[in-house]
Amino acid sequence: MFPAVTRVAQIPTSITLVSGKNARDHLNRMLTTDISNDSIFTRRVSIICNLNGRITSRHLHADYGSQILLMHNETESVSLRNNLTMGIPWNEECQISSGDGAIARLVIYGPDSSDILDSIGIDPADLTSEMWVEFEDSMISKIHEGTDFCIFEMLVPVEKTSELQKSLESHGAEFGSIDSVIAIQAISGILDIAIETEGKIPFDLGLHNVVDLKKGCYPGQEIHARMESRDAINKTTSIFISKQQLPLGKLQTVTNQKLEVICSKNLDGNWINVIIHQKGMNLSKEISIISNENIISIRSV
Amino acid sequence: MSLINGTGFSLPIASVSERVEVNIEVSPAAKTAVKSAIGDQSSSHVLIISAKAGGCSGYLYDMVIVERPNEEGFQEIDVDGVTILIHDNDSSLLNGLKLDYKDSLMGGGFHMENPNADRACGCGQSFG
Repeated sequence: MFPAVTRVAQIPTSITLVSGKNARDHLNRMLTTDISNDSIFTRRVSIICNLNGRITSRHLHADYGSQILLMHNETESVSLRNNLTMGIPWNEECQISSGDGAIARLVIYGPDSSDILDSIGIDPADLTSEMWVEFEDSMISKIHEGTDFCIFEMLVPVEKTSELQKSLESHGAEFGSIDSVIAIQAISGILDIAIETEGKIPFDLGLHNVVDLKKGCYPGQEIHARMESRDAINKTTSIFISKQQLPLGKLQTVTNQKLEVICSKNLDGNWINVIIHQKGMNLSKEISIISNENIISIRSV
Repeated sequence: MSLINGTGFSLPIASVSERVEVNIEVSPAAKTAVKSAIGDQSSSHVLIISAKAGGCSGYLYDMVIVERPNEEGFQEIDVDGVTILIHDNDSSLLNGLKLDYKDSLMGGGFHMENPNADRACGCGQSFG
């Protein structure tokens, strides 16, 4: 299941730019996590929730100080930009712009990904998932380092994408599909921002590290604090493999346990599924799911 | 930093906010507290009441006493010689506000009752 060759894929991504002297303050008031001390080039994932504690948008940051780039799913663009443009105080300087089509997000993954990047002049040894590093006009980070393969993420000006992809391919990378790159990240414990998570409780997705209950007030904070204090976090997310694609949405197992499939992507002939389920569900055995009167077997990865 | 200096970014997205003529009520206790806070600077300083995005209910109240700002877009309310300003962008959120003041050790200070708010948080600072 792990990639035999190194691949590069571009994942369609919407871009919103939050800029101005008070960009950070304005954004920080809405996020579930504290970004007030983020340094320039910080890479992080953040979320904005509604008053019921459910995710309205999930974003990947590229921090430039007084300008913060947010990468997110296109389906969240309208709600995110509406949230960001409302409630900018009279005495704060903050502008919201769309960067859709300006920047491309590439993911490079595979057993030789480090060597290939090295051959085009990027030293992978210094890369981490918490920071972006500049490479010419682009930014790069290492988002996963495993024994068999590494995953890198690049933000590239759109006009340079084709040139970079050709350079990577000339050094041995192959074209990768969007499905496979999302699937390989899921197996590696990364929930790509391309996976729709609107309306979900962050704890159900394992996004505990993106919710800071010590931060103070943010939209949804009361719900999150109540869930945590009452030990009412009953669900979690796991990765399952199947021979057939699963439909997205709520399903049931043959033993009447409820599941919710949020992602089902093909990886080399298998389907990698991201599923929300009750904690305590037995993951050691194969699970049979009812889908459109068919029974589909899944097993935990 | 040419990643964000490219030509592919849009002009800033403008927020659309409805301007309404603001009327607010200020209780006698709140008037006294505001006058006391402004002191003898009422000719040069104003109280600005505003709402900003954030907080557990969606918006946060903010009150500041500042020198009269040069910016346009404010509506003026005179309260016994003290000027209260509310920006047009916040007018639909704050119209009808009742400002009170409670002088108590626990939970004391300015309190807002807002007819536009569907909900508020326990501390009173956030509304939505």
